[in-house]
Amino acid sequence: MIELLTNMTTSAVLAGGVLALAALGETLGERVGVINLGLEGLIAMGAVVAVLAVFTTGNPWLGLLAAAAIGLALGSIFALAAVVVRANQILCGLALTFIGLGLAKSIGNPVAGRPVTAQFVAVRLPLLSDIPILGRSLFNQPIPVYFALLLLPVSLHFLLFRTRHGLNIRAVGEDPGSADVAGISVMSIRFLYVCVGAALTTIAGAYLTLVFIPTWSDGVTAGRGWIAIALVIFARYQPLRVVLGAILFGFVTALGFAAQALNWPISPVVLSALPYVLTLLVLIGPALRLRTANAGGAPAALGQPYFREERN
Amino acid sequence: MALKSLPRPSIGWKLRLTPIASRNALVVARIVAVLLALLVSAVVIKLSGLSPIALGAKALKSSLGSEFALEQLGLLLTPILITAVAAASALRMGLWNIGIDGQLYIGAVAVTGVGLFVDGPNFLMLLVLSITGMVGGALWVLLPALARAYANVNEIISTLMLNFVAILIVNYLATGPWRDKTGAGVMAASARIPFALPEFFGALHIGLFLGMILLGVFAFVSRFTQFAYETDLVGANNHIGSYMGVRTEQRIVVIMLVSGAIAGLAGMIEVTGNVHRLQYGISNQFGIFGIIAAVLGRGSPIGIAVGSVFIAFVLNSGLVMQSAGLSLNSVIALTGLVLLAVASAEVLARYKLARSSANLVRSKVDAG
Repeated sequence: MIELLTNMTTSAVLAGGVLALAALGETLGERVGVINLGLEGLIAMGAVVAVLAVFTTGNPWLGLLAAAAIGLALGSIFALAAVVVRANQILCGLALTFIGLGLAKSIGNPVAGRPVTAQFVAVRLPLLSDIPILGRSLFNQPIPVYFALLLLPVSLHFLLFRTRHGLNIRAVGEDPGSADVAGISVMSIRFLYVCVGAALTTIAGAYLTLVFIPTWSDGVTAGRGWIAIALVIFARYQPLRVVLGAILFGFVTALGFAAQALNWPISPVVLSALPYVLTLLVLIGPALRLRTANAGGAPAALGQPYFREERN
Repeated sequence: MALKSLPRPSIGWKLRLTPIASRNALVVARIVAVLLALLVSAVVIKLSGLSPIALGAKALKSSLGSEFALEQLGLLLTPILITAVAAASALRMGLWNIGIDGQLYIGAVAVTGVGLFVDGPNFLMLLVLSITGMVGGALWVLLPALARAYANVNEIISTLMLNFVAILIVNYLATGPWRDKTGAGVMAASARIPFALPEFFGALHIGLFLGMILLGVFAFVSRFTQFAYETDLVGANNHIGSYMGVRTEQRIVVIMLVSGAIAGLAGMIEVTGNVHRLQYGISNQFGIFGIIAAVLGRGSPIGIAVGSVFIAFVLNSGLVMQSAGLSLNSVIALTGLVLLAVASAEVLARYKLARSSANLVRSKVDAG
């Protein structure tokens, strides 16, 4: 029983990391008022580029770096359309999904199904990892896990809510007109954080193939990008809540694995559908309670392109 | 007179943002965007060591050059036309039905369920199956529709989540309870359904005409009914409904159900016209392609027709030229690029070259 619980929490934490990285990236973008629906494509690109980099260099850190670089590149293309040209953000996001998924599957075809040659290995934190059950699952994990679930969310929280620059970031997302008047460059802040968010999302892809599932295949992203977008809404755009939500979703994934391993009398269809159904539920549940406008904590200018000419 | 000492602006003309683009500017911008996206793809193809011109020629030949090619083009055009109408119906109200694939699949599930276990004359059964498919598709969008209308839940994510669930259900049924037990050599598919749409040109079935009729109905309703007029207004402004006596929430549900029902009809037509079985891959991402076709066509009936033909052509080329190093996936990437370019063109078309206002003041002062 203890063995099972340990395994389940371990894989919950591992699975949660993918969602946490992607959702934290999206949180950054949405905080500056830009909704990026292209996460699924970005995760796929990050995952495949990381795998290709590891196949050529044998170093997982270079894989992570390559994924981050492709994220910045794709993020810039997206931001060029959605922030500089100020095109419809939903269309740009869908376009990014198709570009990312299509490209990733095309260039990933030669390595599809081949196990990666080098992965991140678990780093054991002394003392802490001796705590039963939680110790091993929380403190005996590869380094990217600590980054995704601890370092990154805490620093983002600090950045957003404890620094002057964070205030500027949030101002751009809430009321770009006023931010503009106050001398903040709306376009540069939006461009920068949309790109950083995209890079975090491709890093989530690298995490997926270098930490969690050590191979690239066509369906490996399995809707995680869309779940991450839902997670941001669920977490009300707060980095620390994003992490809790991500681990909750990770736990549901782990539940599916455990049930299959232990031959629980539940149909595998139901188990595989669980994360998607749960996503629906976490979207609908809170929304029923908070029907008043903006009780969900969404930045007021989310999704709206900012034209200085049309400021009122 | 003090104004005279103002520096003269260096450029007398500047770009000015107008609130809405002119119709001509939009058409031109759209065509330029599509060409630009194709050009970028050609460069990428060139860089990957293939000849874009040879591929293009092959694409034209493979889609238009023979009877078989035209037949395949028609087979792809049929579902894309219908899913494009489904997407455009929702977009009339500013709703993004990204779950068309899922609704198509569940429509197909419902059709297969009835088709396998109920018997009757072909014509009557096709009628029954049409309704079955539409009900299936509408039911699959019911929850996201209600959630969007009454709890303001983002319909993009909710409809998309149900796509994954729908595919799981199809895989389960096609490989489990409904799998073909006759040993006809069909893997991972249900038994053959005995009811089929008549074919008129090789394997091309009358579904294409049904799609055209559907587009005609969409055009008629959009142009001549109060329903469509109200929907446009309510879609453009959430609050206007209460002044007009239209219940916005109810209208959201109705529009989403209509969109889902059309998607389900596409599922019925694919099952009875093309595939004749339930299997994964009935929807070759037709939902996505339909959305792109609808966006390319800006929701106008003629635009949807042109957009659908373009997407079907690109998709057909991608499928036929798999041996030449292309794939369905590269086609998806290409359509993404087209979408990005078109979205940008939409805004760029709003810029107008105008004489700078400073210059106007200047010339007025000069004139006294």
